[in-house]
Amino acid sequence: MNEIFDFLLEGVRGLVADPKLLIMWALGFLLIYLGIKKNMEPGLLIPMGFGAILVNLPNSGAITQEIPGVGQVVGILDWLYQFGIEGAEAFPLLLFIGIGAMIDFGPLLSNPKLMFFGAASQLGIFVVLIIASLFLPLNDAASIAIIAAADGPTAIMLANLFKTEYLAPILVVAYSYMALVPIIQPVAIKMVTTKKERAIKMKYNPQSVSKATRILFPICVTIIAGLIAPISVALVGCLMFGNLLRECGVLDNLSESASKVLANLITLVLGLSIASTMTAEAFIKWEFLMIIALGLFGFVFDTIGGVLFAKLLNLFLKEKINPMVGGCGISAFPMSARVVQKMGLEADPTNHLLMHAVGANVSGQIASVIAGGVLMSLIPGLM
Amino acid sequence: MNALLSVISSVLGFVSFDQARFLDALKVAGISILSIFVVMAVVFFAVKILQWATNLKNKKSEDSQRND
Repeated sequence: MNEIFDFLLEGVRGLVADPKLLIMWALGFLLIYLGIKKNMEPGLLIPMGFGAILVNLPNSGAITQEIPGVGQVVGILDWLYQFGIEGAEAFPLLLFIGIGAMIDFGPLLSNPKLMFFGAASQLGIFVVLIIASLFLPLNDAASIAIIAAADGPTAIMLANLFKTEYLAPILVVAYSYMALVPIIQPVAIKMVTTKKERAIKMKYNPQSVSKATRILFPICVTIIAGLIAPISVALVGCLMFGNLLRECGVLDNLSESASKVLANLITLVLGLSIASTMTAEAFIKWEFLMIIALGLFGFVFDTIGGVLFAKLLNLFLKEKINPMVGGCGISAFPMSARVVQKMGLEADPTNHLLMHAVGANVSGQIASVIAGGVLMSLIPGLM
Repeated sequence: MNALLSVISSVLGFVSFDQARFLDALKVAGISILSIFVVMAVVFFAVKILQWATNLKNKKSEDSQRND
């Protein structure tokens, strides 16, 4: 009889012996709640939340375990992680093909000077890198800094490449802040702009973008980025390949599959794969609080960097740019553009900035990938 | 710079502040920001050239249609 009770209560005993598991369950429930109730990146937060509960059950079979008499039994989530992320970062790269197939670079191509806002809005990454280097080794500092890229797949690639021990917390924080862009950005923008500046109107004169330009653009970006930061070519190449599928006009079926089926499938397994690293011992550390603070700092400085760059350009331009458009150069697409459109209308109900904001926003997608690639080139030599 | 680093060292004495690492981070940040701007500038000019070439081609075809 005792043996039966021992067997049935083994899991409960494991839970009592390691109460940290309960904290991870709470985190799992929180992620599921945020995904369902607040609609915050549900595609990733719900699989991650459920996965967090799954891997933090005592002796969970979802992750690799040593079973007496049998030896090592590989868990499905560990296998997915090793195959899809640790191996050749296949999941984030495949996701980039899907993202590339979703993005219309038209607003950017009709006003290419918006590209510089993408570059300026990466400031937060480097501010966080410098601050984090005060406390942590460069590989960890760079992995945390890339949260500010507001770009999940790039964050996964870098954190995995730099073998940081904070992979899971970094991804939870990165995706949570991406969902919080509509709350973070207005505060950051209002800190550095006046109402008069926010009301600046911008003419929208869309130049027709030829099909040849649309087709050659992804190829040119891949070659240019590949020549300057060769290690970034996997990231940039996958994003631009997806876009080439979209723009070439003869692969509509593949483009649709990439932007819908592939992207959904990869998102599904990506969330669960990341959850395999969300074990209590890897997650519950004081550094988690630091990552939350640094991530917020990064998002705020990204926005401020873009806004201040637009203000700098306004010193030299006849037709003024609404500085808020500069703040859209982050990768969180299309939330950031929507935020600026809404703020423009608040400042002046006739001020429509959406198309300019979308152009800056898609430039942020390119710049964040290049920022990740540049860090991938520079950091390993210093580790 | 040295004075700044010594102030940071004394303030952050309780953590493992590494001066060389901090300088490396500053260097990486500087090179990275510059590189991103260079890439975006080259892409900007590439797009401008593509637009110019397209406009030229369109103008030529319009001219030839007019001549016909």
